[in-house]
Amino acid sequence: MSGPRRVRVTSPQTRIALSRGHRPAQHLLPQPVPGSPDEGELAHARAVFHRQRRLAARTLCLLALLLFGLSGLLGAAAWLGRVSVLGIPVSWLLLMAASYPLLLVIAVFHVRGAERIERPGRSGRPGPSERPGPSERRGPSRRRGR
Amino acid sequence: MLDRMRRPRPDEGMTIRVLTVVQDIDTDLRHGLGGRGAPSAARRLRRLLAAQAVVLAGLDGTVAVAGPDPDPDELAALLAQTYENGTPAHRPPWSAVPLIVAGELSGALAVREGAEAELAAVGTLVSRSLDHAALRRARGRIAQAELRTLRAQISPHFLHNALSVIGARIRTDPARARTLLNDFADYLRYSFSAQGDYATVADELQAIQTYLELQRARFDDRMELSVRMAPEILPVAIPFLVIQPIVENAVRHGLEPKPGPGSISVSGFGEGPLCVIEIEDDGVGMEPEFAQAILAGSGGRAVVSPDTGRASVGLANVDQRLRTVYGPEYGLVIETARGGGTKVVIRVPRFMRGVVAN
Amino acid sequence: MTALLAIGLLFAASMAIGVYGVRATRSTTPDFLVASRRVSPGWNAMAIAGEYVSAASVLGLAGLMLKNGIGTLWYAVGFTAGYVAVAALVAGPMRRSGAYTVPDFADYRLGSERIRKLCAVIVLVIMWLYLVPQFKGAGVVLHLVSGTPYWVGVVLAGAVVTASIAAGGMRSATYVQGFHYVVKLLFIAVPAVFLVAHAGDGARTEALRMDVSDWSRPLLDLESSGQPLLATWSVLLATTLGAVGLPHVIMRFHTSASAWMARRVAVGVIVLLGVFYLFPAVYGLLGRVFTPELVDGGDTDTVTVVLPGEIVPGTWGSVLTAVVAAGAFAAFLSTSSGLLMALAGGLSHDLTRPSVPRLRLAVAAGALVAVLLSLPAQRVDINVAVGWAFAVAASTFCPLLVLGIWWRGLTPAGAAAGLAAGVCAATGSALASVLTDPGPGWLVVLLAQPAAWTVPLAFAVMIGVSLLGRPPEWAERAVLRLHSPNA
Repeated sequence: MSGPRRVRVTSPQTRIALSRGHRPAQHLLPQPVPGSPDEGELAHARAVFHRQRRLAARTLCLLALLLFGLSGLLGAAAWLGRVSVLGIPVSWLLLMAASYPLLLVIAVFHVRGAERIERPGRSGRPGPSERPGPSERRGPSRRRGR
Repeated sequence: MLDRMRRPRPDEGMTIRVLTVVQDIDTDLRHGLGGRGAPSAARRLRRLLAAQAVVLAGLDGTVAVAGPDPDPDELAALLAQTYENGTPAHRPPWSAVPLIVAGELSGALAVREGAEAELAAVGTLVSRSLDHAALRRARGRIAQAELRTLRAQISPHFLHNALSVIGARIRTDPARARTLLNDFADYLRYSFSAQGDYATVADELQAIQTYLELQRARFDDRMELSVRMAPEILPVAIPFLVIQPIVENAVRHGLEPKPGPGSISVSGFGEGPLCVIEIEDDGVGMEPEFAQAILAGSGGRAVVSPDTGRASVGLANVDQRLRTVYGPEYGLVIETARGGGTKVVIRVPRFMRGVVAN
Repeated sequence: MTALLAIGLLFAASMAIGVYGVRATRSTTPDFLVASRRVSPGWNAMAIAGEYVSAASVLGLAGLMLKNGIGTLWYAVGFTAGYVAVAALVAGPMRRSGAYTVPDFADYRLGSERIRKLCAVIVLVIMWLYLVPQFKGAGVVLHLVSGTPYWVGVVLAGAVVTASIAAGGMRSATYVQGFHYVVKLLFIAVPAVFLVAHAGDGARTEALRMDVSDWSRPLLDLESSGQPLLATWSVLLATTLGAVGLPHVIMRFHTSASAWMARRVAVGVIVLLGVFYLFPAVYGLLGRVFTPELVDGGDTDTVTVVLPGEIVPGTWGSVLTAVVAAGAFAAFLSTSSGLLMALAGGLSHDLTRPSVPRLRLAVAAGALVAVLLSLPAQRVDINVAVGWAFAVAASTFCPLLVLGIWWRGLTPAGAAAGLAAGVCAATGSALASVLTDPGPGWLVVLLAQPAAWTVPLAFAVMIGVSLLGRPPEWAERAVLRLHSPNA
């Protein structure tokens, strides 16, 4: 760095606030209310939410079934250890390698389902009206509280 | 002197107790007569006045009662009488005073079996608290309105420069002129877009790119430019147009007065929960006192530079907006010296309730 | 010596990427921004996997496997399954909330400063629980490759990671962490393949021999409780749901450009973790044949680093040891930098007012506490301690995030009660399991890995207390916004 040494400058408010250290947070702006107050949009958002929740619940059940089911199976079926494939006991193979692809499949199915719910202009949508295009929607939907 | 200090004050504890109750009532009434704290305020008033029952009634029909519930007809008649004349009313065993906030009738305070002399004083106290609450709410709205008016002031200086640069190239380099004009159109659309108060860092950078392309054309490409951005902070939401005014300031007050080539660098990175954006130029710099004066001057009042004779509204504007949105500790930090270039640092939290990019 | 050199090189490369990796472009091209517009989902997924694959995975998994048996691999399954839960439950909505940390999310959803602070305190608890095994891993590795005492290694590791953060080594965290994922994968996978090839037929058959011992049983047991299924399920619950609530990993989703992208990134992480977790098992299996003496010495966590020297003698052996040690060090460096940044963020931002010197101070203070806690922890198995960190996350932040995202009725009081119940129950049991020994039976499992009861407890308290009160009227809109496609 050449030239004269720079000096650090802030507004007086900032300087005092920084030097004062700990103090309770205060918001000058009114606390915003998230979400949009539009009634039609609200009904639509509720529908999307419920569908997403059903999907998430389903995925979670599948996941629980896989994890608890596989461990239960390995616990109950001791004979799996006596059979071997390529020299590896089947129960070990199931534990070491089989669960990962299944996990991936569950996740991929979930993501596809969730994206399908979010995709605009899908038929059979339980909304109050036809959903307008994304650019129109964005206009009036202010997310900030007022 | 010493004597007076030692004088016993038998009512000291009482004073403190009363003042505490008054403060609590003020806090309870923060959301007005219809707010959540109103019943609690009524209970405190009942204890303060040692009355059988206290009613806080709003003009819009909200009623908060402490003590045994009054007969509805009796209460309605009492309130009607109070509202009618706007003066204290008596229907033994009840008495009531109107609550007048900022010269307007807004409700009534009714008491059963209470001392009337105290009632008038307490009525004034409650009115003041309600007034205080209304002002507090107004302050939030003012801050928000102020934020909107402060937002996005494109300088006429830049408009003029941009158009004359493009104009000068229409003959000599029509292709470049065309690109520049497109850039300029993009820039205008971004600055005029009325979508909320916040944008992502990525959007802001896009706007600066357009701006800098135009400036580079003006400088005949003798301005060097580098942008170093950690990708983590690109989706962070920040107030609309906070980076551009600082870059503009660097060009106008740093590089324009400087003979020969200059360079500007914009860099950004995450620092724990904070997002840091630094705009640095190797221009002429300024007196630290002058930078201080710019930031100390509030909002619109421009401070005229002793060197260039030009005002620097942009920095003060950005500083004030940042402080309004994030709180005083998040104001701009300027590091500068005359002849030593300038570095301006924006440091804001990555998340702030309510700051959401549209 | 080779190993120290490899570690030094790795550290230098990480620093270079961290400080200078922020993409720089000169103004010669008009589109200077196009290059740095967004992080690609691939990099983001690698960064998450890099931050997530810790010493527990690189050293601890093989070590605990050598000690307790093949069932230890359920940890790895749980670590990976966690990302199915993340993709399904939190990735997208968390991104839409704009929240960077879990305390931020609590602020968004509940609007309460007190809960924000409570969350910050829990962040500290989880981060310290998680940091101790990382520092232990670093101390053990440094002891092995250079012969320094354990405590020197721990202190040195603390100093190195603090210095690297202070010097800006996490400025472009995404690239550093992504780089570390690649390092860890290659430096574990390549030697693993090499070792399998060199072990010889006899040893390979021996390693895959299934016998009647508990070691071969494909279920996990804790402290010889005799309740393997319960232990397995409790560990699965802790690791799967703990991944949802791990504060330092959740932050990385903030880098995604959109909620849509965040979900896909989570799926990418599953792939990367699945690939990685194929390899630690190799070290565990071969270790059973070549280094069974480690079990008696109580140094099983060192098996990954010791094994190459045992199987391949000479220069190649020391080169392989160096490679594995560097991989282990990468695991330590990436995870503990991420943990320390999250911890320091909570200390400096949520619990006090923020400023930069204080962030550095908080990093130093956090590292110091972690070092002090790690010094007496040489005998604690890495994976067991990490399991506790997961259990605390699963019984606190997991219910907070899941209920906050999917249930409108959550109230600040409910959240506070559930968080307090979860953190007390989970840390209390971990402490109790260190201090007491109730003998075999289900009780020892419920203390050693408490997730099986603390997670339901935290959910129940959160729901129950919330039902007693009323959520604020804007709660529904705050929830709906998390699922709205155009947010």
